[in-house]
Amino acid sequence: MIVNLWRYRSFILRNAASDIRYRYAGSAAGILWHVINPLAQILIYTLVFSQLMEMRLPGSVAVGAFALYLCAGILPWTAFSDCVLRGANAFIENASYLKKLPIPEQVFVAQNAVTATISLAVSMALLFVVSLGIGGVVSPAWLGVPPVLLLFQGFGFGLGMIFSTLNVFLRDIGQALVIILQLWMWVTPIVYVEQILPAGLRALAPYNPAYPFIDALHRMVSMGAWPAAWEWPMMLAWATVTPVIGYLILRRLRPEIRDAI
Amino acid sequence: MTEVVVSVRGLSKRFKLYANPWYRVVEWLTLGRAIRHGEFWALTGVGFEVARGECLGIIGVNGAGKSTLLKILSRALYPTSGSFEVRGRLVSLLELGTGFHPELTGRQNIFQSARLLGFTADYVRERLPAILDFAQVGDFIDQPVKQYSSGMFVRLAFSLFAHVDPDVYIVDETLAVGDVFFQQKCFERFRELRKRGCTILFVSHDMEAITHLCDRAILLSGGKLVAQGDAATVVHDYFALMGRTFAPGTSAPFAVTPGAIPVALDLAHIPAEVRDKLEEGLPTTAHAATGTRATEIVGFAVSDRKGRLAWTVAPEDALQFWYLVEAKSSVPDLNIGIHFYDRRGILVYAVGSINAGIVFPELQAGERILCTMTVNMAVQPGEYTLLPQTGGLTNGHPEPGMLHDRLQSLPPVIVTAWSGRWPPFYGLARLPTDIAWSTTF
Repeated sequence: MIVNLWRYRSFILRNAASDIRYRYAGSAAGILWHVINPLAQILIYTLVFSQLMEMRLPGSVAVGAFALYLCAGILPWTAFSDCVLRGANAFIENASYLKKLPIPEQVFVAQNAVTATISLAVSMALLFVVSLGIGGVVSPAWLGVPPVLLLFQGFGFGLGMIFSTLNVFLRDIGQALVIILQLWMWVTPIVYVEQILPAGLRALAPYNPAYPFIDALHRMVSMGAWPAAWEWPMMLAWATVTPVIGYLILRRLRPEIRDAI
Repeated sequence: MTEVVVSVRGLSKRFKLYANPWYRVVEWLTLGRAIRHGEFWALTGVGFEVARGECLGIIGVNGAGKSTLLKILSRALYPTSGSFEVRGRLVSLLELGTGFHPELTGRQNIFQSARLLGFTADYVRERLPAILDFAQVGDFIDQPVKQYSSGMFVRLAFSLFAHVDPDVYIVDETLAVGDVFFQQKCFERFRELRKRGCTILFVSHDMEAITHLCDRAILLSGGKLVAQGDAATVVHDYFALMGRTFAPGTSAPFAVTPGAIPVALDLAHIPAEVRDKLEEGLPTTAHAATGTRATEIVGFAVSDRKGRLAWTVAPEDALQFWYLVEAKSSVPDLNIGIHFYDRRGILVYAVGSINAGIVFPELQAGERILCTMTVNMAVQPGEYTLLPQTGGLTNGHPEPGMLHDRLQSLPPVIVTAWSGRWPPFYGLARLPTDIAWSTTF
């Protein structure tokens, strides 16, 4: 799998770049929308949750602190969910290539993951600038953000790999995933702090596969702390095991994918 | 000993047909113990070999398995059983324009497409002038391809394919697009590629193209290989399979207007212009590379009825085509013919001396024959490409005959616009029609 992805790296990168370039083709602001959108998202969440709903981090009264907390989770989650949902549709959307060219299937899932990761890098860089602006905690722990984001996207790529194959045969999966990901977002402490969960649920939270990623990001971005020790191997595991499972499924069903799309 | 470049052994392809997508889940959950699908075998046990530099025609009715076979060879589909081996790089015209992004410019798309096919940017850069020259899209090359006409799009897409040097080339009927001049350029290009040792697999429903371009052919029917051998024989089998017979004598007799095609010309009355033109000879590039050259067209001229050189004619008026043919070996059964293609590449009309029932005397090497054909151009106004050619009969097969020589790259003849109140007819060409009436029925 890796050999093929490496062989097609320039194809993946080029396509991802043109995805980004042309997503807003025809609009006057063009590529600027990649900055405007996440910026607006950051501002809206700040406004709604910190100002209107007056949510605060436990032990803090700063308005900006909750906004940072929120964005630290929600921006990566958006990219992750993009990775999974668009990854799941990768084969169907690229049917015209798959039917005619001997391109390895996983290339298209990777292309979506790269696109989502690039947008994520842009929005997280903005968040970094904003956090400097509102005087939030900017600590050396920010250095840990890029690797965690990469692992999170790796996990998203892995799930994308698993569902892209299955979705070819059972298109309901793509639809169901939209709902499942929404549910998943709400059971993960992203827009709320985990302290508000009842004790029973709170004990279960770490078993949520997305939890270590989100918690690590919260720690680094809004608390200036490093991820907990147990979170690193966990994140690494999800980011490696899911692509492998996805690849095994792909390898098993590969001959039929191109027949079915 | 010729080198085998493509070898296919016992190739089969099964498609599973599920009435309901959940049946597949049932099969997964029972680990394949429950069978809930129907089967369709698109190919069963197909095997053949193609040597380096050979052109193999692949024919068969729609649904015979041609596309499946080509997709497997270009690795876009996986075979169910059997194996195949392709030595060297394979490029398939099935992929024509697939990598094209509408927002990218023509130039960017060429590079992108080449990357998809596995050619490097340097490789393309080296050939870029030739590619651009072939595509003839002019300044549009730096415009997004979404602004291209469909013709420009295809030319651009094809130009890339024509300038890479694969070892094996798969050509599907994509050539049916583009105007006839472009098609001829394409065929020219294939001949060049073949000379360099490129192997071609050619799929077409144009049996004439198959017999002229291919050395051998295979015939698929219902996913099975039912015939293989020299192209003319297999084409014959194809027609037989389709329930058509081409036995001599069953075709309708050709109506020859007396005097329209003079059997013996009065050489004293050849107009001077025409004689000069015929003696001028032809550039070597005018001849198609295919053909046995048992006879050669050494002079060719087009004139109006009065013997003045002309390429333009009023509709319904006649053009006279003059052939000076020289035999290179002993030829007992010479056939002199002409083909007319319209802008869309549709064969509007083709006729040969054999159709007209004319039998030329047997020619010995070095002997020449002068022949003229007067053709009433009862066709729509427009440009028509002509392919004058000479040929002979293939032993045992009256169809499609053996090509000796063919002139190509001639300028088109132009049929000018109608001047009357009504067009004399609608459609491609006028069929002789009689209309009678009565009011007392």
